[in-house]
Amino acid sequence: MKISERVVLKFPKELVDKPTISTLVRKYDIEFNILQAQVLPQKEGVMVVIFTGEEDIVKQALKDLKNQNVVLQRLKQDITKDEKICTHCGVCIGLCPTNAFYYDKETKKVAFDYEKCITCMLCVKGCMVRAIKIKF
Amino acid sequence: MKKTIEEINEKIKKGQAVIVTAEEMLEIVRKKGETKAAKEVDVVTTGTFGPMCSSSVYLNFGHPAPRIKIGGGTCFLNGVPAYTGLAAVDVYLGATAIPPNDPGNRYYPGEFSYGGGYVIEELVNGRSVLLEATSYGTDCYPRKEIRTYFTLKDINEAVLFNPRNCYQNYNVAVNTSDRMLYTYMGILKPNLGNANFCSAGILSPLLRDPEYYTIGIGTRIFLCGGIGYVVWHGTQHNPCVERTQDGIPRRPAGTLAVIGDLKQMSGEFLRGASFVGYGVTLVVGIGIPIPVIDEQVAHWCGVPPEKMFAPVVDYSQSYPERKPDVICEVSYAELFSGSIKIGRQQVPVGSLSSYFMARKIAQVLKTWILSGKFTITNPVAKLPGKESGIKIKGLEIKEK
Repeated sequence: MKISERVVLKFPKELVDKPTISTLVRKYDIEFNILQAQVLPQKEGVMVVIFTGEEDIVKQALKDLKNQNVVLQRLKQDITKDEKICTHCGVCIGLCPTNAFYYDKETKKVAFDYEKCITCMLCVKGCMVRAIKIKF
Repeated sequence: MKKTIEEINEKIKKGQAVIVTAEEMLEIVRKKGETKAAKEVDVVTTGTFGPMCSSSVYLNFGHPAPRIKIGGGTCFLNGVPAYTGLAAVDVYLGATAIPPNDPGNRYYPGEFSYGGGYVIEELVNGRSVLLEATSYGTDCYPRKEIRTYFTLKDINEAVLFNPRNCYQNYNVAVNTSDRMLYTYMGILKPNLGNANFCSAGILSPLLRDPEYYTIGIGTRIFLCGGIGYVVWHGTQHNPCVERTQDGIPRRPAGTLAVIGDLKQMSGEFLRGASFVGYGVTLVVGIGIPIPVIDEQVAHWCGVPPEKMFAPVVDYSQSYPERKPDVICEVSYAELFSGSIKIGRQQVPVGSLSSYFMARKIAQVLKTWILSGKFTITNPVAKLPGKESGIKIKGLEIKEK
């Protein structure tokens, strides 16, 4: 079965100058889509990637990354909209490039579709009551 | 057919009044027509919940022993400066005040993580706030310094006083430049990447009473969960702008100055807020009852969002340079649809004003009136209307 895994990758300093991702996709039959990347020489790098492929192959590839000391986190767990703080104004709706935020037609509350999020973080900056938090 | 406020209040007392929200009224007028709607409905409740920078509180702490004259000295509340040019223990705190050590926009765009709006919210939520004040000392007020904590309960008065709230219509902000903008209308992406507006549309108080026919000085209102009053027209009140056939302003127009007891308010309807790169503000919830005294009121409450328009303004050029240019007009129906068309470009829309909360406020006000807790008022005096000839002034730079 084909799956898509969204992961946040943290590269230790010593891996930053190595072509880790390209080595990985040549080794395993998977596709990758980089949503966000911040990789600077001599510094820890952070990358948000979607890996798509057969379930067991994707899992093997992720395990391989872990063995190279890349820290892995599933993206889903990193994104939160705090319902207690949110006022449902909808300023995030216009900012989001992938329509991950939308008004619930009935309640007029702002809903969040995690699957569409690419963690561009515009909503985090744009939220006037700081209800949206993204932690790597 | 005309109803007086007294007749409507009598019906409220007897539990016979028909109270509906502005959303419900729009449907009623559409289905039954203005005449029938005016006959059947007694009060329409409106609501709005959005950032309103011209908001503030004045506080009276009570006198310590020995006394201090903070008036003319300095005062900080949780590190945020309050104005002291009043009597000994009266101070005034504005929503946009920030601590003197806040870097502002030196590291652009600044975060503005704390300020006046947040202090006001903390007070409403019953939190303890640090008061630090200094004075020069006098024979009658010998103390020169004070440092103490207080809560809302501990002090004599805490009054929310907002010189300009409840804007009647507002700009739709866009950015035609090629860089990101950080404004009081939120983050604006380059090249018309998004558009932000700030109005509750058909629930917005002054859009349902566009000619200030029933809302005036002395009108009792829902203010942040408590009972408040309209005390004056708001600053920059601009009633003489171009209007539609129905009398709805096509530009930002009327505003209200409102007042209310902070001690009655709730943190659900009053929130400190901050715009990255711009500053701190206060999100204020206001609900105003509109008595349906005749068919004219029903007519205005029946104007659909398709017939209400807001101007699209470029915040990369026109707004900061105070140019009057408007890119185009869009209807509230389009704004609430999620995207607007500017030229050939379809632009996603965000809102600064919470429709969800506006609706909630209109519903709460409806239950207040139904329960008899809240009666409606005849204004003591009218707000300046379109006949006033008011022309909004700019500030010209002069040598002398």
